[in-house]
Amino acid sequence: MILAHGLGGRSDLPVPLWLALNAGAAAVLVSFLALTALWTRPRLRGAEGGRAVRLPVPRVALKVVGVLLLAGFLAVAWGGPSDVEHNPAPAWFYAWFWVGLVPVSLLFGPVWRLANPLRTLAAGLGRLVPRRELPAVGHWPAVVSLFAFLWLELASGFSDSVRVVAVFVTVYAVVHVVAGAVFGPGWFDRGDGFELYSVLVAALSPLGRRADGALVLRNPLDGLMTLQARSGLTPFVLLVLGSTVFDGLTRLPVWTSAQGTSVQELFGTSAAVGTVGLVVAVAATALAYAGAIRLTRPYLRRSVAAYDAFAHTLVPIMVGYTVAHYFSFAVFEGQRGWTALSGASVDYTLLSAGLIAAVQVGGIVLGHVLAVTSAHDRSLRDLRPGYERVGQYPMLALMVGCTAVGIALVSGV
Amino acid sequence: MTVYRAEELPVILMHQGGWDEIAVFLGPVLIIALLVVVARRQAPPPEEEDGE
Repeated sequence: MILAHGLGGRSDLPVPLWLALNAGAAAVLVSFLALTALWTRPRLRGAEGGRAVRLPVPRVALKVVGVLLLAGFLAVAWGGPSDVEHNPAPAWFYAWFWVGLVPVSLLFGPVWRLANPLRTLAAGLGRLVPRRELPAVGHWPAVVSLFAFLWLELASGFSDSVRVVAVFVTVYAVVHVVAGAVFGPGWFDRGDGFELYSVLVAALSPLGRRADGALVLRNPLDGLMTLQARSGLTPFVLLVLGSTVFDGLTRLPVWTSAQGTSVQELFGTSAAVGTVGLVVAVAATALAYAGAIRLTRPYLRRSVAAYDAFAHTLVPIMVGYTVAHYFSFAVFEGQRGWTALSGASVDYTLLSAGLIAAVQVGGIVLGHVLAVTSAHDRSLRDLRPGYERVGQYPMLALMVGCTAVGIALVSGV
Repeated sequence: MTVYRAEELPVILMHQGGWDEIAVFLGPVLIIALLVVVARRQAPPPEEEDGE
């Protein structure tokens, strides 16, 4: 067995772990010091920023491709062999779709919003059923639907079962198509976990829409500023962050050794242990963020909603963690998308351990540096005059901690 | 170049660490503690004018 979803261990790091940890933390700290010296007034323009470009957007083609891909996926998942060695559906779902959403959204913006087959099918079904007003539920339905997926992937213990994947995608599709037909297309902005995830990642894309609707090339940090902090958005980002923390934890020796011991006996099945672990990891991540916000609150202007003020700055951290955790998984497990059909073997020599380590540490550090930059610009607008520097210390402490924990987890301490 | 199938490779636990290795976190922990202490001490009083 080879542990392909991440580093095999700290020996894969190109530098000693203590050096990687401290260098990562120092990179975040130095970025902050440079920003406070050189970035003294708000520069980001949000939805007003960017230079207009003329690019054709093949909307109809994307919708047709999206529906055909879903139909092909379901046909293979339900009609193909039931063993994962000969059925590529799980690899398509996890490595191609879930992980693939990140580079596609980063490069091209929220294209999944256009290609989403559930949105297309709901629009068709919506002509046949009476429309109801969408309740004021914020993004909480998306939190629930993404948690269901993350539980299947990380905690259920049967994530690689072909038929379970088929059942999950079918149920997910039916629920969202019906909800989208009843509540209208606005449902997918609030309720579809995959679409919201791709929209959040796409906020960091250099390609986006300006406030006047024009397609623009922009500073990715301007895109981050455009995110609307509706109810449930911050928990959604914290859920993704917490799930990557849990994913890292499950690859530590201490977690492996806990399986089949008194810990498992306490909770019953390994799925129960995984569920508790996932919930605890997400809760711990949320508590760390809430703690930083609690310390920041006295520094904020009275009109600022404290809990959501810095939610957008978590998105680069989320993307950095995702790259770190899924890079090698996508390259190795992604091959099963065709080896399951051709009978060939997965080539584990495609990436060296050093390259994986460099991408993982680089993804985490770059994500945090972008987060610090975005938080700094927001602080110049939202913190009380005279306290712009010290008022950022709690969020900076959070980001230093997240950097260290992230590097430690991918190194498999 | 030799290509292995996953099932042909042995499970190798790369690391079995001890509690002393918590020391590698010393740098980040000190930075965090310092930032939190300073932030708590210098927090403005609630009644202070916030510039709005």
